[in-house]
Amino acid sequence: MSDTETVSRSAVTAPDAGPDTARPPRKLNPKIKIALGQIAVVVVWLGSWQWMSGRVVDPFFTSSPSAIGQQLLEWFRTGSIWPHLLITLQEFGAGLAIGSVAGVLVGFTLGRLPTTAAVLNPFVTVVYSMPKLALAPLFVLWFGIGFGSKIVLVGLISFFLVFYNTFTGARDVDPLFIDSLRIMGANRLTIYRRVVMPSAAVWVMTGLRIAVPQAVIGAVVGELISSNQGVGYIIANAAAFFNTTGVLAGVALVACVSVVLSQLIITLERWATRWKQG
Amino acid sequence: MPSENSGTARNAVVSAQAVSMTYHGRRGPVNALSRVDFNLWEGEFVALLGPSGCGKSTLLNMVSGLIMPTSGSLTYRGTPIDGPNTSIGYMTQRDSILPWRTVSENIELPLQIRRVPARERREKVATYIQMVGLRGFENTYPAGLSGGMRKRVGLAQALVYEPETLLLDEPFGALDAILRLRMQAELLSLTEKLGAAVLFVTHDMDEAITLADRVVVMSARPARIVDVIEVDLPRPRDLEQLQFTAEYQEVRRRVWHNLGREIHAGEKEMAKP
Ligand SMILES: Nc1ncnc2c1ncn2[C@@H]1O[C@H](COP(=O)(O)OP(=O)(O)O)[C@@H](O)[C@H]1O
Ligand SMILES: [Mg+2]
Repeated sequence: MSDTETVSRSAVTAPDAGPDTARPPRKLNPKIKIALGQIAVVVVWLGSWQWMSGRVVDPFFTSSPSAIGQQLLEWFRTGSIWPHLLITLQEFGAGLAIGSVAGVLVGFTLGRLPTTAAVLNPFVTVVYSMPKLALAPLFVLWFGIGFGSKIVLVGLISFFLVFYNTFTGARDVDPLFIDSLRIMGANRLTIYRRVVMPSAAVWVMTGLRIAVPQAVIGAVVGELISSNQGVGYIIANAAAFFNTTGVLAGVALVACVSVVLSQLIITLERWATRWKQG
Repeated sequence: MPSENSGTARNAVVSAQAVSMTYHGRRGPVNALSRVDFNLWEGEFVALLGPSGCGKSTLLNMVSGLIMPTSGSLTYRGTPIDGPNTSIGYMTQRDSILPWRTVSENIELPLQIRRVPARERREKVATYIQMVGLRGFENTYPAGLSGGMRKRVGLAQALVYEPETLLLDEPFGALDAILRLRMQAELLSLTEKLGAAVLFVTHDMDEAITLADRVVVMSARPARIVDVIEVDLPRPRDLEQLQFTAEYQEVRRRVWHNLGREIHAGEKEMAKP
């Protein structure tokens, strides 16, 4: 009934517009719709987990959302988690900083040396595809169970992700931009500064965005394999005592930290490439 | 050389003798230019008119020093062109403005490169933004501009350092008729004021006749110079009225009569993908 009303009204105000152009009935804002859907997923997921735990499956194996939440609360209330979280963040920060600075420098340099780049290209691809995490035990052997081995692992992971993207970006510069600057009278250095670097910055930021969550994983896995501090150590320790709640609380904490850090880097990326929006 | 010599003692800025260009693409060699003889004299406005794909941009790229002719001699003020030609301003056919610089930063770039003092830079940039009608868009990035606006940024960028020679590759193709007329008038008054030589690529016959001292007509690929027509319409020209004058109609009839068919045949030829 309301349909026919809308159609007839539109026919009066816009005689040559078809019924398709009649104002559609008010719909839910798609953003709100998506958010509601996401909340529903979380509720169903955690709810069924909570319900099944103790009824269908033994909480010894699966723990439960409420137990995990309590564990997290406990960690932060007593403050016992802070030193470990800080250690993991330091390994992450130091490794990412060293790895990505090196990645940017080497990536730019090799990317603008076409012959060298062509020679190294297959090797780069091989090393890039290598699972760096698998080297963690070796790093422990070489650099000890402390800070050093984790920084090397995180650094290596970050280096390759940032290097590979920078390397690709430095080769991807539109030659028209370079030609145009040469005619304006620019020398190599100016072209580097005004064209190559800003152009590759997009790729560098992509590399960083991919590197951040991988670097978090690198730090935690490094700790899992062998350490006496850090969130990875907490997880490994809980696992050694078959403490499912402790393991899952640790994993949840790592996931949260990773999401927050990723969000930060995405904001930075958006700012650095704001020219894309016009 | 057909009708190059008007008898005056002017100097050639660009001089091409038997210039040919063959690209070696993936699908075999492409003959883009075939034995082109051509002079651009000081302060002269020359329109290159020819079907698309015939080799007009190729000729401009060679004059700018970005590519070398396969054979023949090409000189700028008597010196062979063997590297980027910094005496020219070149507005390429494809956008070459930098997407990560705002409108005013893009126009400022050549001045920065040429180490023009900051105050003078600011004044120049403001003048040329005004000239191409982009006031209010100074701080917009190219992604936020229309195609025609980006073209005008490119034009301002080529003009802002007031080079003695301008290469403009279909600069007004993306503009609507009124804006195009305004830009044409601005360009003419500026180049007359600066005494700059202009090599202006277009495939619009009316645009070529209204702007140029000479119209160089090129054939379909491989481009040869088919004819050179002197346009002896008086300057300064009133572009709004020009098209309605008897003299203009006379020149137009001549160009059309001699060459209209050739260009059209070429365009049909090139229309095949
Ligand atoms: N880098 C290139 N490699 C191979 N072929 C090219 C290249 N540049 C242009 N061509 C070819 O040369 C011909 C002339 O091109 P161009 O000078 O751009 O024509 P116009 O500017 O007159 O439209 C075209 O057929 C084009 O496909
Ligand atoms: Mg062209």
